[in-house]
Amino acid sequence: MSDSPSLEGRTRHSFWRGEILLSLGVIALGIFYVIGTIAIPTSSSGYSRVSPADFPWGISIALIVIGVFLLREALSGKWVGEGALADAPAFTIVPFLWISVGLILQIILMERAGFVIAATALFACTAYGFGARNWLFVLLIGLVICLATYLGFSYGLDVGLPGGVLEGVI
Amino acid sequence: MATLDALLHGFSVALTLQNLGWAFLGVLLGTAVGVLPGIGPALTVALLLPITFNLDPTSAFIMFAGIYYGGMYGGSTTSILLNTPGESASIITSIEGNLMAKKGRGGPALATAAIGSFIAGTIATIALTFLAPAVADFALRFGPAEYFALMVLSFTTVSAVLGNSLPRGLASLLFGVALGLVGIDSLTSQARFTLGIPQMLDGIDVVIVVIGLFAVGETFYVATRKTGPETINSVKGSTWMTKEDWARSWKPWLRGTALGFPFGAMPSGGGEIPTFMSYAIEKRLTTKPEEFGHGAIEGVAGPEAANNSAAAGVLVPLLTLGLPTSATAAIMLAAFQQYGLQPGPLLFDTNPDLVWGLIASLYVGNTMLLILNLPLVGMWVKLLQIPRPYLYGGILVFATLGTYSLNNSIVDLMTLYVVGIVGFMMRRFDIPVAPAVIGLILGPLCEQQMRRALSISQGDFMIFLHEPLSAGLLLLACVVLIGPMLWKLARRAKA
Repeated sequence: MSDSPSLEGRTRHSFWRGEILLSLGVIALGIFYVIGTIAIPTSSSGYSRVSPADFPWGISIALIVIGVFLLREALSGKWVGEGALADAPAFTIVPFLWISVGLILQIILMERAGFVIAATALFACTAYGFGARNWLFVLLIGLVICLATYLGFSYGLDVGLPGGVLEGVI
Repeated sequence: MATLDALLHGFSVALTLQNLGWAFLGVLLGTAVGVLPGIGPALTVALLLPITFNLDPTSAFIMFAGIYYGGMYGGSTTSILLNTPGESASIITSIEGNLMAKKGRGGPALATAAIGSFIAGTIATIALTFLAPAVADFALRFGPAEYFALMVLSFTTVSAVLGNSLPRGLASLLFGVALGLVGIDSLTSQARFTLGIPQMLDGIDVVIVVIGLFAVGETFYVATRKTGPETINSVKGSTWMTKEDWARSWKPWLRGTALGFPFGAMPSGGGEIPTFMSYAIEKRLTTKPEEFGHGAIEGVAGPEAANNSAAAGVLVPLLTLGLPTSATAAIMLAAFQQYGLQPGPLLFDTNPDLVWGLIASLYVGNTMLLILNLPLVGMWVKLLQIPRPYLYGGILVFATLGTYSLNNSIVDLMTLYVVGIVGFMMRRFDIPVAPAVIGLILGPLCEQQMRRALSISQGDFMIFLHEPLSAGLLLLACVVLIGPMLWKLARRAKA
């Protein structure tokens, strides 16, 4: 890219940076797909000349080739994501963890405790991750939004959501 | 005249009270999501798909079209009033538009964007009206080999155009195509890449991937960046444009329109290139070059027109060839599939109500947007003031709700989380997400056409080179792939 000279001095260098890991990830995905493609049984009936593995072979090999190109881009410093730019906004992992907790809680609670409780938990964790600090207020707002959504979807749009422990109450 | 008759018929569909209502709902919703950071038209249509399943397809698409055009209008409002630009195609608008707003000329900036969008949208829709039937006629001659070649060309151009580097664009595209392979093969009923998970036999729904990449990934991305507080420019003074503003706007509007439509209509798509070009042209042609960089109205009028004109152009390959070239077009194709419809040349014959009703509703929606946008700007500014914790909390609640209601499946929620993390890394490391969505929806169709062509030719791969049209398209794809590399080598050899 033509803007690469201007990146000089603005980048941090470390070998295990995300760009390189992502390139290796693409190569790994390609290898995974090669293994998966080998596992596709190619029967000899009907469309025998056109096997269901032909297209996947092309895609798996293309993934590996592109992974190598990406790795070259990453190693040569032409590919610089935001994490490596010194003048980019600082990175903080804590909100990511909070939102993840919310999403995982949602997965666990959705069918056990019901949509309203699961979604309120997700709302609260996300809002906390974004810097809201008044737990009580956040939970209250989340509860109102999720309850209204549940009622609207169940009765207005006829989309069934799990009621969970509140089943029968609302 | 057949086209005009068809269009008139389309208006008779679009102007029923019911469909006017859906169009209105669409443009209202579209503008709102365009204004709000973190959600766009692609995500909105994806979230609406599960609940519009019972709706009449024509009404649903009239609403989706409203969301599509409305998103463009809303996006420009945000890029003018907020110091952080939203979607990539409105980055250029935000440069001069934001400076104008800071100088207290936010009103005229919004006005030139809205009127320019209306003019560009209307002219481009007229072009769409007359170009689409012609392309559809031509596409009737396409066989499987031609379709395969066209999709391969589209894959390479989309990867090259949407993003900053071809390898990164291709990586994103291939990721999407690879996800599209998961599930039961439609021709031989073989399970592929399912990891033994029964829920994966149906494949990975494009709706989940769009929600994961655009809602969950985006939320992670925004949450983990420590940025300063956003400042919203208020709209001070007169919202109306002065005589001078008009004089300086009308030519950029027309030039932007002329630039945007062809770019959108090509099977590569991409709204960014025409906006950049429009900006560069207006900067050169302006009578007041000193104002560029300090809030020049031409720098808002031109790119904004180009952006909207390209958006209308994107509908040409979508409707006539079934070829989506933007994330929103890809999700619209998924919507067609949900109703068991396949966009393409035959759609104009089999579903004239839908196609022409949709096209007519674009005129209607555009007019509604012009009338709605300026008077309601105060309301849109209020939307921008929703505190971020609640906005993103709400986005995730609706994202998971939309995902879960697809199949009532917890596995879908887990897939959503994983795709969200991938989307987060893609945003963080500057890999475009739109090619992944296009690859996911187009990959299976591409494979289908390839295998159809091969079964016609008894397994002979040369069929793609025997047909002159498919050979030409594949050659073009090769040029896009290795042309830049050869060009670089040639220049190095010269130096």
